[in-house]
Amino acid sequence: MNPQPTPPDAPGPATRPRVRRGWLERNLWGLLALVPLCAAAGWMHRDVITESYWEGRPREAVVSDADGWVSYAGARIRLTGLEPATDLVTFGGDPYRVPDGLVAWRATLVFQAADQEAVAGCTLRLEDAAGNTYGPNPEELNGAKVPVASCTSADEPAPPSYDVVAYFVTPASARATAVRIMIAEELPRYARLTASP
Amino acid sequence: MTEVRHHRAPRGPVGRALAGLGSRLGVGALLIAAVAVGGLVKSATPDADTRERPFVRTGRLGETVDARTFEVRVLDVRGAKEIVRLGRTRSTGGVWVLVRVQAVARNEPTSIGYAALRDGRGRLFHATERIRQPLARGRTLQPGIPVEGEIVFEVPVEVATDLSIRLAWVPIDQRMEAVAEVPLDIDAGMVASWQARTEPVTVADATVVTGQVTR
Repeated sequence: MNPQPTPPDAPGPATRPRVRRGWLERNLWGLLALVPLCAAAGWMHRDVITESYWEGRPREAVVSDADGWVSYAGARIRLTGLEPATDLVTFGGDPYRVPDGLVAWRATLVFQAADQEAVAGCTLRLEDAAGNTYGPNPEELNGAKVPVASCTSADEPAPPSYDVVAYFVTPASARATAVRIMIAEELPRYARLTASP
Repeated sequence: MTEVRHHRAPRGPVGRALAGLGSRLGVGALLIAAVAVGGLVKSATPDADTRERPFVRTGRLGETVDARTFEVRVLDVRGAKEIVRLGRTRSTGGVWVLVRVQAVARNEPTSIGYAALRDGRGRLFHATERIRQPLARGRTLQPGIPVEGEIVFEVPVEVATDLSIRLAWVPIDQRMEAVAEVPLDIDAGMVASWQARTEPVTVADATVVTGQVTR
């Protein structure tokens, strides 16, 4: 005897009916994974040149405490003098005349640096009221008897505390306000020393 | 009760194979389309050399041109078969071109690290290393203190009438860096007179321009 066909409206077997899922549902996890992947791709293609440029710029000033000392690169530094240098002389001892329209500046700093290596590669800058910065030992003072600016002591071994003198030149209209000290390993932090009141 | 809207006979083995093949072909077509779109985007966007090219700022003789870290004015140009620098005379089989410029740093110490002449074919002739240059490659410029001096080049005679000077702060890699460019306006008569000159010319030292301090 042949089995009777099941009527169309008869209840089926007790298995769950197979539901055909849509494209979005099938690819949901893949689409979600695209979000972090796109972010990672963007991060990999970030502007490394600009980032390294900004990291190498002096942007974060380390300023002096109430006593005028700045702690920077393991050293304590204080600006004790910042004034026009009107008494420059040549190597022969004659008065040195700064080119017309310019002013020479002398900055005197006190260093307490146990590790001379840590401050050896420093860069000194004079800052004026407008924010311009000037380098030490400028060619405009060629012929004047001035020491080569350095953050280390001339004595070996270095004493616990020593003076550093640096000479700069600015236009006569500029007003020197601070000295900056930068060490490559510390950037973007730099020491900004203002003259003690 | 579930309403059955239509009936479809189950696919046979050939139908299933064709459906699978169609699916794979669809994926392949999508991949090809993605690669093609990527190629179009790549061809429509600038390559690395173009994207990172220098920012060339042009001017004319006597005009101030902004080279980002310094401003520069090309004042004049002269030439010779022989030059004298620091007591030594040097001759050339081509022609010496001496470009007098005035430059001033903008906000911080800088220098003219790169100086070159560019001819009409795009070839570059760097400032000569046969002498110690008085201004380029070494002289530090301080903000607001203009310095004037000559930059010396040695070029073939045949290109001397089609030259522009290019100046920048960075010595080697000018990618994405400002470059000042000024045509030198040298004519054949000038070159002929330089070659006819029997006396060597002395390269001028760099000096502070008195009375023109800008700040």
